[in-house]
Amino acid sequence: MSAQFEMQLYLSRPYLTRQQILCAQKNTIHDRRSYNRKKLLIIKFLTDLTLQLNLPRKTLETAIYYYQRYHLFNLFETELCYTVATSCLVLGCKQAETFKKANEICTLSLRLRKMSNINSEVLDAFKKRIFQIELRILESCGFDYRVNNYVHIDDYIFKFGKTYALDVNICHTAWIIAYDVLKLDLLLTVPQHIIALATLKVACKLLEKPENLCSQYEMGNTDRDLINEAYFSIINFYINAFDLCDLKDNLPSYIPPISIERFMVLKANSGPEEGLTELTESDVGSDRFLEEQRQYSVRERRYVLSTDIMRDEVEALKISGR
Amino acid sequence: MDSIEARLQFIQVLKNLHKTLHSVLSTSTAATSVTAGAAVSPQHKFETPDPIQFYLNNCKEHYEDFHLCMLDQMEKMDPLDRVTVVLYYGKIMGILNRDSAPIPQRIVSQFMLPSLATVFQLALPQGNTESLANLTVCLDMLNILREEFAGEQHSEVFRSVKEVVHQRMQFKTELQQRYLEEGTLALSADPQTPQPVSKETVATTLGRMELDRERHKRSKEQIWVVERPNHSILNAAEFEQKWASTEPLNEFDMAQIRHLTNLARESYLI
Repeated sequence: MSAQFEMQLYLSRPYLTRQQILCAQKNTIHDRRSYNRKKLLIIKFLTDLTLQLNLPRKTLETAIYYYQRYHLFNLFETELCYTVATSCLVLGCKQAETFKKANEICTLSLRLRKMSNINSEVLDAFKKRIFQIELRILESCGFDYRVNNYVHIDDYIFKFGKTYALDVNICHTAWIIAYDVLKLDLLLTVPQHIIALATLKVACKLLEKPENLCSQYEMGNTDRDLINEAYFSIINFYINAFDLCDLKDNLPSYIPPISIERFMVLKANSGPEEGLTELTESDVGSDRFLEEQRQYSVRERRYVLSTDIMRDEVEALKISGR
Repeated sequence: MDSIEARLQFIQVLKNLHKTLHSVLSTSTAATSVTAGAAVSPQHKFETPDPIQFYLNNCKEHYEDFHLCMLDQMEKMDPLDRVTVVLYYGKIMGILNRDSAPIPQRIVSQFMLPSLATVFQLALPQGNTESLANLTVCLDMLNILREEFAGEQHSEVFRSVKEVVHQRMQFKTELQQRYLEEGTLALSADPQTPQPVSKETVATTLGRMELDRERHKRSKEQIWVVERPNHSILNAAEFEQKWASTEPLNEFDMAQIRHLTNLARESYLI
C-alpha cells in the first residue's frame, strides 16, 4: 500500500526585480488602482500607529515591507487590508526588536479604525486573525530573518552621512525623502542601504551639492545598477505622483522650492536610465516562484534560505526515489 | 501617612528595587524637585511605583525613618542585591544635592553623607567573595558622587569610602593571583569555604538568573522609544537626536551590507 506525500519547498527570495514583482502581482492584485489607493491609506494608518506607540521608523519600514510582500503571494482584499497591516506591524515590532504587546497594538488598531465597543471577545477574535495572517506574511517572506534586522534606510542615511562627512542638510533632506520611498515598491526590490544611498544622491542633487559619495561607495563596488534602480525609481515617483509626496509639505527652509519640473530637469541631467537588468517577460513568466499561485492546501510547506540547502533536498529526494 | 505606614511602604519599595530601579535609571534622568513632585519618566506606566519618586514625595516628613530603613534593609538583603540600594542611594543623593531647599540639604549633609561609608561597606562586606561582583558598580557610583560633591568639606567622607573600595579591589586581585597560581579559589581558613550546594542556594541562584533576565529585557524595552511631541513622523527633533547619536559605518555594518547585496543578487536569479 503506497501513500502520496506532497511537500512544497521554497527558496527565500527577499528581493525581486520590478518585472518579477509585476508577474507575482498578476495573481494577487486584480484592481491595481484600488490597491495603490489603499496602500497610501494603509501607510497613513501604519504611520499613525507608529506615532501613537512611539515606535522608531525602522519598525514602520519593516511593516510596510511585510505588507507589500504579503500581497505578492496573497490575494488583495479591500476589507482585509487594515487587519493585514496590523499583523504586519505586530510582526515588524518583533523583527525590528521594538517589542510591543500584541494586545496593545490590536486595541489601538481597532480604536483608530473607529470601532466601538472593543470588548475582550472582539479583541480575541481580532488577535486570532492577526496571528493567522502573521503566518502568511512569514511564508511570503520565506521566514527570512536576515532581512529587516540590522539594516534600515534611515539608520544608514545617518551612517553614510557620518562616514562620508556629508552636510547635515543633505542627510536631513534624504531622511525626509526616505519616508516618501515607503510609498513605492522599491523596498521589495533593493536592499535598504542602497535606498539610503539613492536618497542621499537625490538630496545632493536637490541641494546642488557635489555628489561624490556614490562614487566613494562604488569604488571597488559593483552596485551602480542597484543604486541607479533606486535613484530613478525615486525621481520617477516625484515626477509622476508629485501630489502624493510628503517632501513638498515638509520642505526644510534651506532647500529651494521643488516642483515636478525640477525633478524632470534632474532626471534629464542624470544620464541614461539604467537600473537593474531584467529578464525577458517570458523568462520571468516561466519562473514558478512568481507565476504559480501559492497553494496553502499542501500541508508540508518548507522554506529554505540558500540554494545549497535546496540542492541537498532535491538530491535527497532523488536518492530516496520519491 | 504615619511613621509606621511610611516605613512599611518604603520597605516594600526597597524589596522591589531590583525590578523597578533599572527601568527608571535607563530613561533620561532629569533632575526633579522635591516640592514639584513631578514624575521623572512620565512616558512609562509602571505597575510598581517609581521608587525614586516615592522617596522624593515622602522624604520631607519621613527622611529619618527612611534612612534607618535603608540601612536596616541592606543588612537583611543578600550582598549581591545590596548594590541596587547603592545605586538608589547615590541617585537620591545627587537629586537632593541639586535642590537648594533646607530639608533636602539637611538630609544630604546630616544623614546621607555621613553614612556613605557604611552603605559601601554593606555592599562590599569584608571577606565576602561573591559581593566582589558589586565592585565595578560601586566604583562607578563613587566616581559620580565624588564629582557631584567636589568640595573640601566632603573629602573626609570620600576618603573613608575610597579606602573600603580599594581594600576590596586588593582582595579581588589577591584572589585572582591565587587562582592563577593554584588553579583554585579554596580559602582554607576562611569562614566562607565552599560547602555542598544547598537547595536554598540553588533557588536563590535561579531566582537571581530570572531577575537578571527580566532586568535585561526591561532595559531593552524602552531603549528604542522615540518621543515625538508634535506628533509628526518627520519631526526635526527626532532627526537631530539620531544625527547626534549615530556613529559612522564600522566593520559589522560593512559586512551586513555586503551580505545583503549578495542576498539581493542571488534573489533576482539572473
